This record gives sequence, structure tokens and C-alpha cells, in this order.
Amino acid sequence: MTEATVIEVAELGFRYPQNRDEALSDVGFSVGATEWVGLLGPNGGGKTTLLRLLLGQLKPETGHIEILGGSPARMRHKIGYVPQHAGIDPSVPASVLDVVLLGRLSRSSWGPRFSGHDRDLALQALEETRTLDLSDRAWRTLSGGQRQRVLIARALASRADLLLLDEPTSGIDIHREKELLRLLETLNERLPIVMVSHDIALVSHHMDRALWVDRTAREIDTHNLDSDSLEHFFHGDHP
Amino acid sequence: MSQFFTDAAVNPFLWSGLLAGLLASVSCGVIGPYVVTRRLVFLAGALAHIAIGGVGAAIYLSVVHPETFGWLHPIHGGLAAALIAAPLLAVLLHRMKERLDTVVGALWAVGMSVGILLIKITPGYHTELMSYLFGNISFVTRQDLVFLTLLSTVVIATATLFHRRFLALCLDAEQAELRGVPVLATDIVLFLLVAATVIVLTQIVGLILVIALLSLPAAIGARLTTRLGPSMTVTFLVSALVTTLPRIAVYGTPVSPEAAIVLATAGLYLLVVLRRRPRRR
Repeated sequence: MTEATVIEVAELGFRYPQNRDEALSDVGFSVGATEWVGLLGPNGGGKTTLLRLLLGQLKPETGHIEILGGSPARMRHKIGYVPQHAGIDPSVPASVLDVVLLGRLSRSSWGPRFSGHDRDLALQALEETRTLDLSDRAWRTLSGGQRQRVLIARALASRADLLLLDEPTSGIDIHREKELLRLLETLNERLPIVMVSHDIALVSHHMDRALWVDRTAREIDTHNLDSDSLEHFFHGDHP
Repeated sequence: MSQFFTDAAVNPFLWSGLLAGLLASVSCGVIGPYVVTRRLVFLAGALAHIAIGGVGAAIYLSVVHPETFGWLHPIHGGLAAALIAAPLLAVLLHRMKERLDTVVGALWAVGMSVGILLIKITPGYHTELMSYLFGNISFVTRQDLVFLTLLSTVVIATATLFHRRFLALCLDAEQAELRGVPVLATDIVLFLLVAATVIVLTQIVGLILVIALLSLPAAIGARLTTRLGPSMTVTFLVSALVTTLPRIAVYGTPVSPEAAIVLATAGLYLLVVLRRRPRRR
């Protein structure tokens, strides 16, 4: 792994215990320190499995993953993860600041309150995602677009060195999507981003590179990406 | 109502009952919101019914083997059973994604059946089980108060130490795990505290009705507030209100104070649900 590489994956294979077929096989790719890389692919092709392997939530059956110079499990405190849908129950009495402060949680968090330093970092992250005015709002009152920005703020509050996002634009309107993409472009000036998406236009306009994930991972030329070329991938007829 | 205060001047048990209610309200205020927001009400109900097995075992052992277990109080048996079951239920919650409700329901029924069976085969006639099933707020002894105080202190001290971890589990367990919090171990601690709180509340409304007091005041707190801390304060205040006023109001009438407490809590919850939508800010 070179200094400029943040993710190095080689000969990665993974199979769920209850399944005979491999969910992923012979996956290899790397991500540079300034890159924004998209993960495209059909439903059930293994995109979310790959993200979970990168997060250290699943263990590879074969091959290896190195993230920020260490194993995913060891380095996951350095990864800011933004899920497709927040697993936050809307009925839970929690403010936006409570949610962002979860990004400051660590193995050594004891006691009833977060420190002033933790709160400052959480407020900074809210400011960076232009959601500071929402800090006292109840989580349950936010729109889909606001929730995604707050989840990105939570990832930033953890002082992440890498952002992993799972379809952050799904379910939000076009105006909010543009705002979100502008924010991600700004963040990409200082952070590498790996993002799952189904949106070809989004991938071709904003991302440096993309991988087609369907049991394995293949590089896609994002500059000549259109629905015809993706059709080839869907049918396994790789150009 | 005035009869309560007239009698309280000469009957210290009446004050003990109210004090026990306030003590239980503190534990209820701290643990109830975790139970409701983490959606553990069904599992807490299972803990209460498994505790009945422990109560039955303690009564059986203390009567059949008095030389060895004569010192054993039924509530100790209930506490032991609930504390043993708590880690088991936490592991089931994490490991058993499917059919959790079936297994928990079975444990719920088995716990209660064991209690009834042991009482049946215990020589003599034992009415104690009824007071643990339906509560006995009218006869809270000094020893009961000491036991409740100790248990409540342990619950509150541990919850204070673990609060941020519990909050993380209630909000987003996956994020908590990614941030390095040992989720299963933290849930085991939470379940142990729920078990202890169930036993504290048993003194007030009994094991059958305990789930109402553990969930409804916290559900009211969750509807009236937007943060977990204030939700705990509201839960405590509601618990203190419902363990005190109904008990005083029905004193001297044929109405069971334990049932009055639960019905008043349910009525208050219904009122809040009907009168107030969740706060937007």
C-alpha cells in the first residue's frame, strides 16, 4: 500500500454461511487518497457486502483488505460510514446534536455526558454540512435530505479519514440531491469517498472512477458511461 | 382520601408503601426510557415472568429445606432468576434474528409454569406468591425498603456510568458497534439493570403488572420530550405521580391499589396519546 492509497483490496472472496455460492469472488481494487469512487451494480450483486467487508463488519473468506494502513476492524474508527437509511427509530426522543455526538463515541466513552471538546467537534461538523440550525431539532422532524446531511455530519464528527456512503441520494428530491453532491464535492477536497449508487449520471459527472460490482468488481470508464454501456455490464458482456 | 392521612398517622406501613413507590419511580425513570426506546418491553415482560419461577423456587426451598434455605426470601429467588435470564435474553436478541418472539414467549410461559408448579408441590398453603404476582404495596416492610434502596442505588449508579453507551444502543446499535462499543456486552449490562428494576417494581404492582409501570410512564416521557435526559425526568415524575395518588385515592375502598396504579398509568398514557402529537421541536 503506497502512502497515497487509502484502500487496497486483493483477491477478496466472501461467502455467507447459509449460502453455497460466493457473494464476492476475486475482488481487487485500490482507492487513492484524493479519489471519489463509485460502486455500481445490480441488486444483490454484492455492493453492500463489499461495504460491510470494508467496514470490518464481515470477515473475508479469502484475500485481504487494507484500509488506511491497517485491517478494517482496527481502522474502522477512522472510517465515516453513512448508511442508506439511518437505523434511528423516529420515535426515540433524540435531538440532531445527540445523533451527531454518536460520531464521538469510542471504546473509552464512560459516564453520562460527552465532553465540551466532543460537543465542539459535533457542532463544527454540523456547520460544515450546513445543518447547524437543526442542532436542537428532534431527529424525527427532519426530512430525508436533512437526515442524510446530519448523518454525514456524524461521520465527520468522528474525524474520519475516509467516507463510505451507501446510496445517500436515494429517496431525496433533485434539489436536495444537488445540495448533497455539492457538499460531497467539497468534502472530497480533503477526504477520499467510496459511494454506492444506482445513478449513472451522478457517477459519470461527479466521480473519478467507478467499479461494477456483480460477484466480482470491474473498473468502469466513468467518462463514457451511459445506459448502453451499463446494459453490457448487466448482461455480463463487459466492454 | 382524608382517611389515608388519618390512618397514616398510626400505620407506618402506609408511608412505607408511598416511599417504596417513590424509590421504584427513580429506577423506573432511569431504566424505563431505555426499555421503551430500545424496544425491549416484550423481553422485560419475559424477565418478569421468569422471575416468578425464581420466587416459586425460593418458597419451595425455604419450606422443604429450612435448615439450608430457611433464610431465603421469595424476592431473592425472583432476583436470582431474573439476573440469570437477563444475559441469556440479551444473547438471544443478538444471535436469534428469526423466531425471537417464539422463543421469548416460550421462556415467559415456562418461567411462570415453574413458579406455579413449585408452589403447588410445596407443603402447606402459601399466599406469598399472590403478593408477588399482583403486588402488595400495603405491606412494605423496613427490610423491603432497605432492599429496594440498595437495588435502586446499584441500578442508578450503573446506568450513570453506561448512559452514553445505552443511548447509542437505543439510537443506532450499528453505529455504536462501528464506534467500538461492545454491543452485546453493553446489552447484557442493560438487561441486568432491567431485571433489577423489574424486581424493584414487583414490590409496587407485582410481576404480572410490572410491565405497565416499566413501559407506560417512559412512553409518556418519549411523547412529551425530544431528548432522552428530559424523557427520564418526565418518566420519573409520571411514575411518582401514579404510584402515589391512585394509592391514596382508593384507600379504604375495595379497589386494589396495585390495579388502580396500573389503570391510572394506562389512562394517563391514553390521555397523552389523544391530546398531544409528538413535539416537532
